[in-house]
Amino acid sequence: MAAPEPPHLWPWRVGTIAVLAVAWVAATGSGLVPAVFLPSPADLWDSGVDLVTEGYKDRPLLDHIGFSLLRVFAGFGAGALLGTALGLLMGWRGWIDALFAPFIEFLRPLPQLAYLLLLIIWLGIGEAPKICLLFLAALPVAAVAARDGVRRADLTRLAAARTLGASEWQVFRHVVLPSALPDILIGARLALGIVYGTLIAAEIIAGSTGLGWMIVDAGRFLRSDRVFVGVLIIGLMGVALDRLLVLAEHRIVHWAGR
Amino acid sequence: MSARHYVAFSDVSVTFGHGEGAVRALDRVSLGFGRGSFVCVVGPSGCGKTTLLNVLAGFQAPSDGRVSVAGSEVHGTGPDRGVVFQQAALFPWLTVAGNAAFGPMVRGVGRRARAERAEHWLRIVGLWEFRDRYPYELSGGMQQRLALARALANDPAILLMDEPFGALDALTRERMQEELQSVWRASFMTVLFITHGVEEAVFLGTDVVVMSPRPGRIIERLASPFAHEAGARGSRKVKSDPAFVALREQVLGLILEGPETAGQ
Repeated sequence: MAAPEPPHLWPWRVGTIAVLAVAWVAATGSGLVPAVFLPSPADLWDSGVDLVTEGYKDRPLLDHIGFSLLRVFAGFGAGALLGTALGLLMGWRGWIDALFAPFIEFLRPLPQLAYLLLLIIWLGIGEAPKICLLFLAALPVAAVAARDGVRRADLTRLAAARTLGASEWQVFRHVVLPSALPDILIGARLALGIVYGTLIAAEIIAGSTGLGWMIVDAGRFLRSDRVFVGVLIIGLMGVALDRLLVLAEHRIVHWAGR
Repeated sequence: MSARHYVAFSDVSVTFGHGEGAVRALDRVSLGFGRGSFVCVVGPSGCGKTTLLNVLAGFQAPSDGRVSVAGSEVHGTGPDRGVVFQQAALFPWLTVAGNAAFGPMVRGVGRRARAERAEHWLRIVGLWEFRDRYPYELSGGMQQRLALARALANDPAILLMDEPFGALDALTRERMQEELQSVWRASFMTVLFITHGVEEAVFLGTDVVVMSPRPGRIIERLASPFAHEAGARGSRKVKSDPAFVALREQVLGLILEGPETAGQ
């Protein structure tokens, strides 16, 4: 866990954003850059207001956001939960690791798009292949993080718990699990990032809902203003989700690294 | 030996590895002591003193020989033998009180009873006002006091300590020695204390066991009278007593020169 950023660095952060904004206004206002490449701030605002009030293709914007979030949470939730449970067992017992490691190691570096088509063939074009794709993206990341967390558990602490009378299950529950918690949360954060990135790919699969689909669809009609708004929403939501996990991390594993 | 002594090592050998690379950490060690003894084991690093403790704690099974407590052979760890390690090895996700109550908790002692037991020992080691803090908020000496309280809250018959004060500064170490001694005097506990500090061993122990390395053997066992006197006389007085200095030098001589030349 890094030290909090000193407050005097804030002007620098705000500064870069301000410079970018000025360049944007100048480039679009002077007519140097066509609107299809880069919409002006005013266009973007109008497009954003229009999306909020009118929705996109017969659906309110919040529906699209909701669909995307639901898929992320379903895929990430199931993948991270099952992956963590599997990783804990893999770290705790060598034979369980030997049983599952080949699949996990193969799946983890595999680009999600590589098996997307298989999922469509197997599961059709509904919600199932989308959520399954996100699930498979989260699972190996969470599993490896949890396994490594278990393996990093301090041996003296395990010995201490045993001499205090803890059974094997109690050692697992009261020492191994909390020892692995920092790694599990880091794994969850990594998995969420990957799932979020995979979301767009998942939503390209037929359908007419979700932020990813909205961006792809708007791009097809060269509505770059809508693409920009979509990208902005996805980006800001991504930052918010990540911050939330960091907050949870600080609260739950306040002892980590100390 | 095993019939007469509360704790008995009988011809205990421990060998690590096989064939050419095998290391004999303990070589036919026999050692027995009675209930309430405070046995300090000293020796240079690699003499097997930690292995000796690990065998009694149940972390390490002897390759040969047997270890028994009150007549029954040791198999694996057990809450009757509490251990304090050089690193405090506290549970950083638990509060000070949670750490102290860990042993009673896993052994199924009720919530109120274990809180009372934790309070009792935290008061004795002077950490009661820190009960809601976390281990990382404590100094090294306080962490080691908490490790001691955690072990004692389980009411062990035997307390095993592996260079518990080795990582502390001199002043804190001295204070911890006095605290440990007063806890021991007030109890019926048997203590096995591993250290490389000769002065510490002579000051704390009723018995000082000197070991030599390669292979790990006991070369001498001396009785020390000072563990019983320190409470009444104060540790500085004891440590400057000519009899204390003489015993300290004798033990140091055994470690440096071996049993053949010491005392000549």
